[in-house]
Amino acid sequence: MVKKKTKKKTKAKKGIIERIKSEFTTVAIVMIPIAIGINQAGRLIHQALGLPIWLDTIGTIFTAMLCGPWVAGVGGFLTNVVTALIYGRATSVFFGTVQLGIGMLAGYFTYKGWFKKWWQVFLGGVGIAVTAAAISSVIVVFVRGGVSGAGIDLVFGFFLAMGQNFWTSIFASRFLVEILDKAVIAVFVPWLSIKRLPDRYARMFKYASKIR
Amino acid sequence: MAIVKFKDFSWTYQGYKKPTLRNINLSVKEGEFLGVIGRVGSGRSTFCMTMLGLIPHFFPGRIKGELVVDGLSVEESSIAELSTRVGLIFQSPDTQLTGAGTTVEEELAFGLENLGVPQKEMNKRVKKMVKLIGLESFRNRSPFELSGGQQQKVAIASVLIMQPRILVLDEPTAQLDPLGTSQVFDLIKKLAKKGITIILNTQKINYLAEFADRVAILNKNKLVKVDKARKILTDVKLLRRNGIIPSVYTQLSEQLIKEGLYKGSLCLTLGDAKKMIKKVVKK
Amino acid sequence: MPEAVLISYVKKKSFFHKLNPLTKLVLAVCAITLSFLLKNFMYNLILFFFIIPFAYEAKLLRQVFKPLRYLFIIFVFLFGIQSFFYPFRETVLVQLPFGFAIWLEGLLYAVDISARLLVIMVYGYLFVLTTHPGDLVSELKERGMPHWLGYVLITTLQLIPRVTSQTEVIIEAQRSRGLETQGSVIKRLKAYTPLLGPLFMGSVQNAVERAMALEARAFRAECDKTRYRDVKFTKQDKLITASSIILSIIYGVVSWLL
Repeated sequence: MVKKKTKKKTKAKKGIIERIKSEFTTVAIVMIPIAIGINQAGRLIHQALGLPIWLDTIGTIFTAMLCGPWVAGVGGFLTNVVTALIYGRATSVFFGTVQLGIGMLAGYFTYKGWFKKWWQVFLGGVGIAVTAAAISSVIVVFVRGGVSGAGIDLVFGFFLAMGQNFWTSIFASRFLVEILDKAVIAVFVPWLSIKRLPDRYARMFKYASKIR
Repeated sequence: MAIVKFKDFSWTYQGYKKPTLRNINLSVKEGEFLGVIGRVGSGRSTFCMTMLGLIPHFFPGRIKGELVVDGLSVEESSIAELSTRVGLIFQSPDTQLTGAGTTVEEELAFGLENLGVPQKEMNKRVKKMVKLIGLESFRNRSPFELSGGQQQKVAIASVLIMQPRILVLDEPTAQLDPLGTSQVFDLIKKLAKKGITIILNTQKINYLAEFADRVAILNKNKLVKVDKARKILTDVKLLRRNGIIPSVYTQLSEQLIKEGLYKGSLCLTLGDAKKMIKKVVKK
Repeated sequence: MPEAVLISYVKKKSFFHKLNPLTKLVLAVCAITLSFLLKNFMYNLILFFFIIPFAYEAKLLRQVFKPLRYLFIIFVFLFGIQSFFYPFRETVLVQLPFGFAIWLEGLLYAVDISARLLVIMVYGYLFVLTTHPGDLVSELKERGMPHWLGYVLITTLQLIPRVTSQTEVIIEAQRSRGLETQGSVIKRLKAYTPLLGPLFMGSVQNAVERAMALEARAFRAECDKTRYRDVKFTKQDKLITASSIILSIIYGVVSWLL
């Protein structure tokens, strides 16, 4: 009896690995560089806009909605690895975990079929904002003592000056600057694009049907 | 011996009601040069994708009938297996360069790396291919710095390096300028002379007329006719019925015949046109 | 940081350049890991200056300190915020009006983080400056990294500069059309968000075409892969890798024992 059970367990484990592997179809793999490219384009548009809309995870979230959590997680993390390799900024790799979290969460929501109605997408976006703020708070303290060298630091400083607790301050400041980007632009633009995708392309992506 | 054989072959993309290819019956002999023509949306691109097995292994859908390529049933073989027998070239030079290599040489070697070909053999074949496409001085440059025509030649070489016996080209010059187009056709001509089986989907009738052995017309997802290149390409009625504009030389001779200036058969190539003009001028 | 600097690799003839990418990676990872584990900032500063002989040998002494420009802004904010509001503040260093003060603990914390950042930045940058990404990926694949991941890395590195220049062209076009980047928030959003839609649509078609091209190159073949780009792991590499690891451990332990 006991032997049988362990056998079943290993079988189930294998099943998960096989399932993850099966998500990495050729089209999904090709989506990874493209997602990173979209993130980069988004980042540049953000700089031109000069608004706290980062746009640098839109490619990751787009991939999550098309190819699921694992592919999007890899794509998100690699976005920062590539930034590190291109600009020589090693700290960027640590922040890859934020992208990883966003990709996997957005992919998980898609997998669960929670991205069908617009209000679900909005809630999902809020969830992503919370996750992004939580992970980035930890990383930014760990790597840079809590500061980013940008406007967000003033918000952080303001909360601290108001007598808020250190972690509350950093999380609140991060959440404030994430929410507009994540709950509105970064989820809705990819979502609407996938809704409008011609059938013949949508069919090539396993997860697109969970959204449309 | 037929190297490619379609037998009552039909293909319907998933989610489509009507088949994109319907009851195709066709044999291509080894070493033959087959041209494929037809209007946009006639199923030509899909036809090209069948032989590498992108249909049915890459695109979801339903197959009927049978397709055998170099002794392999396409339905039962993997794309990787078929890729050493069939080389497939697409329209866009930009998207078919994989970017897996930082130099022209590495881009060429990518397919061989995937097949696990030993390094020594890879070096030999890369050298040969660089020479074949005449890009020796660009060996160590990034493929993305090349012109469209040069990129397309790199793309052709990067599948040829896997030593397929059949080369299928799906509108390889559709996105190129005239110079790039002639560069690519020069290469295709060179390959045809080497005896590799070539299936070329193109709208450039002028070029096709020069070296195709046979031409197939596709229309409304069906194979309308296959015959000797000259016979098909000078059958103006047939061409027009299927939405294809005849070669400029054919049109010229048609006009001259109509105006009573020339009595003879329709021209097809530049050579024909020269002869015709000599005759007309003599008169 | 200026966007023009893409792919930092600088080709030079030096012993350091010729080292195996993994050797250089191990060195960088050792230094970066150490920077988190060392007892205090003094040890990190020593580690920071320890890069000089390597950078000098690689003929990149000046370049290797370039990221410091980017760090400068971070330092300003870091000192600005932490010396005033550090949560575990106890000792007042300078008393300021309105109840503000500069705290010793905050200042030390900022110094600690700064020293660590210096180490992370320069060692990471030296690695990137001296390592061709092609060599790195080739070596990693040889050591068991999945070959698709190698494809993804190299392709992305080549794609990013192109995406960057294409996007800059689009932004420039929007600007010259009078779609101001300085107008009201709504105006600016209206100017740029429509650019994103086509980006997504085009990318999907692009992905399908690229995937077909990969399939045509036997991307999915199930066999042991070989590599075209040859990278050697010499005795010197072995020696430097081993000594990087051993010296790092010793230095880390010493920092806590002294």
